Amino acid sequence: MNRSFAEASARERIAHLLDAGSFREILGPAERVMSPHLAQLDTPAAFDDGVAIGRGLLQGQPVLVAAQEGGFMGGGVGEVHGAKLVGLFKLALSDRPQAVLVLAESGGVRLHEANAGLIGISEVMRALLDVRHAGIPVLMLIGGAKGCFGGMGLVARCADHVVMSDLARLAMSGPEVIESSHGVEEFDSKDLALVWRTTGGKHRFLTGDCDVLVEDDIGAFRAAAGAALGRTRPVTLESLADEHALLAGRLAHFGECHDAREIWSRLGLANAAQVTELDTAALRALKSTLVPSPSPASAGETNLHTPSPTSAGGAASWPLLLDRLFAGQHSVHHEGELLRGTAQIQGRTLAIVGTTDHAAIGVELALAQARVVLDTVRNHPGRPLLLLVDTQGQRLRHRDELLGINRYMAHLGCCIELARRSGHRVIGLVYDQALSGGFITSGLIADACYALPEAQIRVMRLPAMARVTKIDEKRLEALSLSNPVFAPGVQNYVAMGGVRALWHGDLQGDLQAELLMALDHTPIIDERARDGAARGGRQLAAQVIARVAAA
Amino acid sequence: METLHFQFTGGRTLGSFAPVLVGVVGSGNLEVLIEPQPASGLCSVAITTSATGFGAIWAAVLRDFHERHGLADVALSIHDMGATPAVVSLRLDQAAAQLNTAAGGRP
Repeated sequence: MNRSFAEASARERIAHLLDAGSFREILGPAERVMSPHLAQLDTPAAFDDGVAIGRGLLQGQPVLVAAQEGGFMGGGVGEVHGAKLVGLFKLALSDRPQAVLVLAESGGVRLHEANAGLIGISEVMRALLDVRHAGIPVLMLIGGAKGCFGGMGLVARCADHVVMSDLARLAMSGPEVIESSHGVEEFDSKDLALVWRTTGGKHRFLTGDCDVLVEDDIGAFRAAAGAALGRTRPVTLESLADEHALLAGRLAHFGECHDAREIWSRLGLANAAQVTELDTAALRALKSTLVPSPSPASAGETNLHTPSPTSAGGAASWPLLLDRLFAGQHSVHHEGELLRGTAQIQGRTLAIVGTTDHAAIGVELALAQARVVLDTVRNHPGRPLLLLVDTQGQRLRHRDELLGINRYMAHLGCCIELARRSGHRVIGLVYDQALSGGFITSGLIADACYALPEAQIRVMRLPAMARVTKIDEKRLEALSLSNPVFAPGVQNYVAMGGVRALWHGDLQGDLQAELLMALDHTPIIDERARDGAARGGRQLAAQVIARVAAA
Repeated sequence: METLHFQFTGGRTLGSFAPVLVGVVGSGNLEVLIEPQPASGLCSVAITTSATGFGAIWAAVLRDFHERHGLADVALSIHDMGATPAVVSLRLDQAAAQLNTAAGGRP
């Protein structure tokens, strides 16, 4: 008998996915490890903060499992929710299960505690990649009605395997967000057929962003997860070079497509228009007959969008910054919104990569930054990387979602992680602005991120946050004075541990000293939750991570 | 947001059991956690709800629940997001049914 995955709650999914009766929850509801931030916003908390985690058996094999509850705040990741996921990945390093299963259903960062959620997502990514590095596979099972969006869309594409149902969606920005940003002609969020063929399981399966497509049936997810147990996909320079070529090839082949049906047609599906009517078994059979398209190594990569007229460089703050940091000893230049080059400080050479003009991070820009990081790892072992952050967030376009922007951005994150593992120091510096998703796979995935005092960091402006959360803007303003958890501002990110320190100093020597200090003393392990606790901005994350990791 | 507390006496004791959770804190929905409260003789209920001013209706719904199931030595904790009385009753009954299973009793 089929049992719908989409209609089940997170706990029901776990109960029927794992061997009967084998689930042992960690920090279960009776422990009352709840969000400390929701009460002040007049919002009831949940006993498990919207995610159930624990140990269990799948086909007799030990696994760790997490299931997000889409019914609670849209599965949004807040401080405790994120910390439970991080803790579970840390537990995997000592438990060494056959897999970590993540039943993802999430809109991404929970706006009510946006800063904690944004930092938390990047901590989840780093912890997840630690688990993959240890040779333990991470499986994403995506079948909830709310889909897997935002930061969780990035997390999903950091995993070894992705399993989706045809009801599920995987993407970066939600259609409503894109529509409200660029109008209904850009992405009509009420056109459900359009939404599903852009972000749904079938499209992701045909393009390869999901490995296994299943029916909306928990038993089918169980079978798919069982088949992936113990199967790892190591993250290496070679595997990321392959991934890079695949993504560049996708851009070259499909970059001009305006609709998923064009992509399916170019993939060789004779009757692309009928894909939506096929059941999953028929679609799987059809896909197995397709010949993989060749992926030319560098095609699609040179097509960086030309800078907009306002970005001719006059107001850009990066030349001045680099002069202060490197006293003219640098070759950094901009190609559109991309910054790249090398710089010298006290006889040491750094690779510089970043963005300018408040760049919206689209697929090209994510790929171009990944290229610089990969080239540095390949050609200049050990050379430190400085990531210069100036972004308005991910690009909010239908085309980016069609191409799978979350996979492009996750690729950038994985490349930075590879650099760290290969012995490169990776320092992030927010020198202008850092917003939402664009920040997660740059500064927030560095060894540590620093910021200039005048920089801006936020997930969302307070007026927009007031609209989404339906909380009075004046109230949010008043609360933001005393609580760093959702209000914009670099100081709040320092308090929460997301920014390690601000680089003060009016004199050239001051900034140079800060950079040298960062190069020599930035920790390689992720200490942000600990910093957040010590500084009082995130009082629960560190202890929740520790409790789960020691469970 | 409002916090409400109720207590009922005179039910049957279940003995020890693992805590039971049903429902989700979503719009028009609620979660109910039932835990043991040994040797108290009480069925106590703590509610956090996003909808204020419905104390009398909660009292009536819970009184009905207590008459149907008559549990003692238990503590109910509820997080509510504006569920209707019918949904509240449904969740309470689901929780009681799971509780009987968890405590090894008859459903």
